Formats: sequence, C-alpha cells, structure tokens
Amino acid sequence: MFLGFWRRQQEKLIDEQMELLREDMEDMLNACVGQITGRTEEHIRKGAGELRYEFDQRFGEISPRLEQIMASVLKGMADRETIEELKRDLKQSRTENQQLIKQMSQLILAIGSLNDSVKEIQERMEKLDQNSARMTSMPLAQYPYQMPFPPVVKAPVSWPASGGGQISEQAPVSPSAPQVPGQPGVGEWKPETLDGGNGPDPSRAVSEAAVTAEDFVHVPALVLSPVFTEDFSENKQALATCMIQCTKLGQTLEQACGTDESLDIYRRLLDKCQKKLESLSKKMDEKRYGPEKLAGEVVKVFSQSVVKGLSQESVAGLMGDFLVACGLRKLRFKPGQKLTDRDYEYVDNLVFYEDVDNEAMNNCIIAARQDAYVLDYTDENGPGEAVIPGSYKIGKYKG
Amino acid sequence: MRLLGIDFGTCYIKGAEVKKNGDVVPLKLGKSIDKPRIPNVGLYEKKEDQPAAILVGNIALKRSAPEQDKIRNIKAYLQEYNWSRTLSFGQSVSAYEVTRDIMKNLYNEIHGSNKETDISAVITVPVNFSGRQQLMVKQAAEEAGFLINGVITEPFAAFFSLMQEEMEEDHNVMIFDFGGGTMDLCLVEVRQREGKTRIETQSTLGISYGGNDINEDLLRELLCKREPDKIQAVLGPHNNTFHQMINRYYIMKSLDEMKEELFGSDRKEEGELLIERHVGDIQDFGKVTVEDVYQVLETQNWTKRIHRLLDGLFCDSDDMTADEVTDIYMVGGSSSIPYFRRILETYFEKNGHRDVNKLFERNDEMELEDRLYTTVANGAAIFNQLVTSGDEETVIKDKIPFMVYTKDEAGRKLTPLMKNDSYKDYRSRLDRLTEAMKREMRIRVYQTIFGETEKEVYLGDIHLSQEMAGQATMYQLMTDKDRNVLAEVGYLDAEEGYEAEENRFCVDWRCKLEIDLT
Repeated sequence: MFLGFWRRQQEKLIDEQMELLREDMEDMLNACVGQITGRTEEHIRKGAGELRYEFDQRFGEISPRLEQIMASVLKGMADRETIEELKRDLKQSRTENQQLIKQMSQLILAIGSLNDSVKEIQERMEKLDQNSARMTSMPLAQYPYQMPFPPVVKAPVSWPASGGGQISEQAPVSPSAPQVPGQPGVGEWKPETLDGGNGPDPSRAVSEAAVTAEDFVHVPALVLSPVFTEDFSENKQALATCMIQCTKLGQTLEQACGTDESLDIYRRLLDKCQKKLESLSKKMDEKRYGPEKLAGEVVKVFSQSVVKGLSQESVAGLMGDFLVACGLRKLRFKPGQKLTDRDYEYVDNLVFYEDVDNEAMNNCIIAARQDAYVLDYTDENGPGEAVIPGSYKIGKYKG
Repeated sequence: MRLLGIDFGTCYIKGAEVKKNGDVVPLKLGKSIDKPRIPNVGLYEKKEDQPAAILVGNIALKRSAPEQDKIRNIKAYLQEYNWSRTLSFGQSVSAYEVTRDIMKNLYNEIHGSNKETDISAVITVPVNFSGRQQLMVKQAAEEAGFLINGVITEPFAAFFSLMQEEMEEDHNVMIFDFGGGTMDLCLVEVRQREGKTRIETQSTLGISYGGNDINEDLLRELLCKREPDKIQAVLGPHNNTFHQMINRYYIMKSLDEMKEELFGSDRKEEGELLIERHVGDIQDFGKVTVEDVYQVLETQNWTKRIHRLLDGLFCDSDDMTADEVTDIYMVGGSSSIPYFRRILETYFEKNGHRDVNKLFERNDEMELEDRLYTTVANGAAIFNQLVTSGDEETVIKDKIPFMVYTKDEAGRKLTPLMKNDSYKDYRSRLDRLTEAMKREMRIRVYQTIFGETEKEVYLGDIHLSQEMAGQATMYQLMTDKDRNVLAEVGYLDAEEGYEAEENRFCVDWRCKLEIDLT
C-alpha cells in the first residue's frame, strides 16, 4: 500500500515537472519566434541580444527543474509504468520542440542575416533536440541525462585580496544575483594593495581559482534604446542629459564625501568631464556631428575622465551609476562565463590572466576589475556601439 | 568588384572602401565594434584532428594562449632571413605563412557570406619597408584571395586622399607622416604633360621614431625629474615586475590622453596628468603645459634631426628643391604637435621659400581628425580606384629610395646601385660579379634603407649562371611599380645608350630573375 502511494506521488511529481518543462520550452520557443518575426533588419542585432538574454534566462529556470525530474526518474526506475509515461511525455515534447525548431529555422533563413547570437540559439536548440532524442531512445539506466547547459550552481571563485591575503569563497553566481555598484561583491575584483605582493601575476599558479565548467553562467546585457540617433534635437537632448547627470554626480559626491580631500581628484575629473561635454555640445552645433561620431566623442570624454574612477573602490559605484544614467549600458560579464569571439571587443587591451587547472575554464572570466559600458547609437547603417572596455581577469589553462 | 585600401600597420590594420557612388568609407574589419581597425596580431590555435587555424585582431591579442602562439609585428619578421616560429603544438610557421594566414582571415571577414564578389586591394606599408617585405605582403595577400593592385608606401597613399581634388594643376607636395611608431617623409610631384597627369614620388625617407617614443621621453625627461618620488612609488624597484608593467601601461595611456588634450581639436595651454595605479589610487602629477612638452622635445634635438632628414630628402630628389614645394600635409597623430610644424616652417624659410604660410593652407583647411587618422587607408582605396579604372590619363610612379647590393664573402658590398646613380663605373663593379656568374654562384642580395641610420635588410637569393655571364654586362636590382620583379640582369646595348640618357645608364633588359624567397 505504501509502495503504491509512493509510486502515485512519483507519477504526479513527474507529470507536474514535465508539464512545467513543456510549457517553459513552448514559451521560450514562441518568444524566440515572436521576437524574430517582429523585427526589421535594423533591429536584428539588438533583437539577437535580447533573444540570447531571454533564452539564457529561461534556460536558467528550466535547468534546476530538469535536475529535479532526473532525480525523480532515478528514484522511480523500478516503476515501468512511470518510465513509459515519462518516455511518452518526452516524445511528445520532442515532437513539439522539433516543430517549433523547424518553424524557427525557416524564419531565421527568411531573415537571412542574423548575427552570431541567433546562430548560437540555433545550435543550442539542436543540442536540446539531440538531448531530447537521447532521453527518449536511451535506456534509463544510462542516465544521468547530459544537460545542454550545466545547471546554475554556486561557484568557488577566488580573487586577489587586499592586505596581502587571498580570498577564496563560494560565490553565488545566479543571473539574478543583485549587483551592488562600487562594492566588490560576488566575483568582483577587489582592489589590491601594493604591499601585499599578491597581484595577478600571470606566472603564479592559482589552483584555488580553478572554477569548474559547471560554474558556467551567461548573463548577457539587456539592450536599451540607442542614446544617439539621426535626430539632431534628440541627440542634443541626450547630451544635455549627460551634462545634467554630471552636475548631479558632482552634488552627490559633495554630499557623500563632504570635504574629504582624498576625493578632490574625482571632483576634478568630473569637472573635466563637464567642460568637455559642454565643448562637445558647442562643436556639435557647428559641425553637425552624426550619431556615430557623437557616440565616439562622448565615450572618449568619459574614458578620459570619470572612467578613471571606475577602478577606485570609494567612488566606483557612483561613477558606474552616472554612466548608466547617461544612457550607457553596463555589460555584466560574470565569473565563469566563457568569452565568445565578439566578447573580446569589450575587454581592455590590458588583460590579466590567471592560471587555471580546469581546461574548461580556459578563456573564462575569473573576476571583473571594471565592467564594460556600451553607448548605443543608430545611423543610416543600422545600430552601432561605442565601447568603454572593461578590465577582467581571464582564465589561462596551465596544461 | 569591391575596391579596398588596407593600411597594414605595425600595430593596427585599418581599411577603407570605395563605394559605388564614389564615397570612401572606413571598413569595419574583423569583429571590431566601434573602431575601423584591428590589432595586427595573429594567434594560432589547433583543435584535435584539425589543421591549425589563425585568429586575428582583438581576440588574438587578448585571448589567453601560450605566448609563442601569438605573433605580433609580423612585418618586422618578414625581413629576417629564414625567420620561423615553432608553435606550442609543434608546428612551425614562416613569416610569409603568418602574413598569408592573417590576410586570409581578413579576406574571409571582409567577404562575409558573399563569396561571389571579387575583392581588389591596395596595401600600404611604411617607407622603411624593404622590397622583400613588400613582395611578400603582396604574394601573401594574393594567396589569401585578394586581387592586389599595388603595395605602396603609407605617405604616398596619404597623398591620394589629401590631393584627390587637386590633381588638375602642377604641385610639389611634401607629406610629413608622423604616427605612433614611425616618422616618414615623402616628396611627390604632380605634373600635367601632354594631356596626362603624371604623379611621381621624388624621394622618400623614414625613421623608426613616433608618438610612443615621445611618451618615453616625457616619462624620462619630465615625470621622472619633476616627481621622482611618485614615479618611484609606481615604477620603483620595491614593486614586482608585473605591477610595474601595468603601471607603465597606465602612464603611457595618460600621456596619450594628455597630448590629445594639449594638441587635439580642443587645444589647451595646459592639461592635468592624473595617472591610475594598478593597485592604488589615482596619482596626481599636476599640470603639464605645452611648453613643458616642447622643452622635452628640445632635449631630443629635433630641429637638427628633422632638418638633416629634410636635407637628405631633397638631396635624393631628382628635380625638386625646398623652395619649389607648393604644399605640405601633416598626417599621423603625432604631427598634430605644433612644435614639429614650427621645425618644418623654419627649414623652408631657411631654404628660401617665399611664402611658408601658404604651404600649409590646404592642410589647415582639412578636418583635423580626418587628416591625422584616416588618410592612409582612404588614399590606398582611392589609388586602387585609379588603377582599376584604367585611367590612361594618369601616370603613377612610386620609386624606391634604397641602395641595393650584393656582398662578397668578406662582407664587402658589391655592385651597389642607388637611385640617381650615374653608374659610370659600372664595369669595374661588375667584374667580380661576372666572375661569380661564371662559377654559377648563388648570391644573397641586400638592401639598405636610409634614415637617420642605415638599416640593412636581406632581400633574397639570386642564382647566377654561366649563360648570364656570357650575355649580361650589367646586373641591377630593382622593382617595377607592382614590385613584381626584384632583380634584373641587363646588358648595355651600346655606348650610345649610356650617352643618350644624360649620363644615366641605359639598359635593354634581357632577362629577369626572381629572387628566391625561400
């Protein structure tokens, strides 16, 4: 009797989980298809970024559920009825997936010029499909199921420590983990001291930092609307916003820091930023700068002034908030994230490497010293980006 | 067909394209997001069971990989004899192969998915690039898939962008190209003759000194002297080498920014020098004035050095003297420092030029940033368009300013031939060579590049044979405009030939030799 109750509970649990999984997958694919079809050429690049974000976010939600299901399956292996039911469910899910994938592929082909991000989605879909196929065709004894993405887990991350020590702790790297600007937190790079001598010397082997492949988590940035467009008056307004934010930041700095002389340098940087923006605003009238030129100039002004404060613990948060308030988007590369070919465009020329034991962590982000920021614009050639590259420590496999 | 200009620089590769409507636009290379340039770095990677593949640009520069698999400044290796690098997975690559692979990667990136359209390109190289380097770049690019319409020097390419609208009258133009790593000078003559426009380089000189070296001078002569304690704190011996390296990077970055503030489009008399520290706060080095920078430049004796270079430039020119120059253009980031313009003005005043201000009139009318940073790639694309259009009314001649020669076993130079050499005593010079031919020797050929100091580069080998010895009375190394032929053996048809060309040696080319680059 007890066995029957337990079996029914198992069946119910699997049913529920499968239903949830199917719904999630359908939602995900529908959302992808809907977003692709709803986009014109000029929005494809941005759409792809959003798709990638959405895909990853949804998969982040699905992954733990899949794990739960697998655990249930393993427990219920003796129950033939449940297994058969599960197989049927998976088969049905696979058929639906295939239809949706086919639909999506046709749409992608029709659009023709989607960027790498969409190709990546396709590849991931295929991988998902293959895994579904494996699930329905393999004997259950061959489980555990190979996840298309490693599940979201807590990752051990180490980074250079202040005071000469070295911190190694379990850092949660969930995509939803809160970001507190300016406060070195999860996987962020704490400023080091000169005396410690524990800088990120590339020759130094740091086995503690060997984050495993399972720590992988991808958190692409959300794409905001462009700061600069073909509309001159809008651009003028956007530049005015930057100047207002500059004034506000000056006030905040005064309130937060009072007359602290050590912060005088940042006031001067801010003053420099304000003056350069004013000068740019005047020049913009004379020379009728286009959005690309304008975006490049604004990024240059920021890079030569406030960005210097991004690596300084005391004001990093304020400076980061300022950039976001000016319309720049912050790129959230996270520890454990594998860098794609394109991602290197967001990495500063000065790269810090850290030896890792795990090959899967080669070319993965180990820690972020300073985030990258992107200023979006759009002109007659479509959307474009002006980049303030971030400073990261990247894994270098010792093998 | 797409028409491109590629500036194959030491640090960066830039590109420009002539659009169907005639506009010249910067070419986004590789995966570059916001800049029309990519670092000139190649990284070889090998995956199991697959041949090694090269990555180029930011990814190659920044990706973690064994250092020997990353190849920077391939141009320098092109001139070394038999240079090769053994990669971490055992494979060896030659300088030619690396150049070809970089070009192949560029070609694929530019082509994208549309492989049906041909891409023709003109590639630019620095003035102090030897004929061997030029030839290898050309062959590598062709093997990669490009249709190459020429390999030309950077200032000569810049000329086509700067003078695009001014070709209908006679001009004597000097290009002063002062970038991050080199200072190149070039004299170009534009002449209208019999309904044709003749564009000809008269003389070219280059030295390896640029904006990066100015930064080094500023660090040594200004910062170290003014703030020794602060410099000690960031670069001092108590820090580890890694910190020093990073801090040095930040110093150079800040010096670049400071120069931009003082000499960029929003010029100021003074700028602040705030330098980040790798593991500390921002270091305040106080205000730096224009005069401070000039004083540092003075310590390097620039007036004398540039005047001497200009003397050499005009001395090497066939017909042009300093007072006949009509236009001067200053390109490259470092040329925005007015100090260098003042040096040029002084030279031309001293050499009898009547209206020095007029020399810079067209230069000053141009948008500063366009003139400084985009003229080389743009000019190469325009040159490409000119060559492709088959415009018979424009004749272009780009000469090489080098001395080429062979050496004997004791290292003595044989048969040196220079531009404008009258070659009157050619027979005595050829005696030993004729002997070498009889013995069917394989001889190495060298080239000297003139600048402040002479720099010798190896060009290649030539196999000599008895047949040649029987016929040839003259051996000469030269290139045609496309750098197709590096060595030629000629023979003197008659003494009349010699006389006919105003004491210039006249040859009737009988056979051509390809230099063996292997």
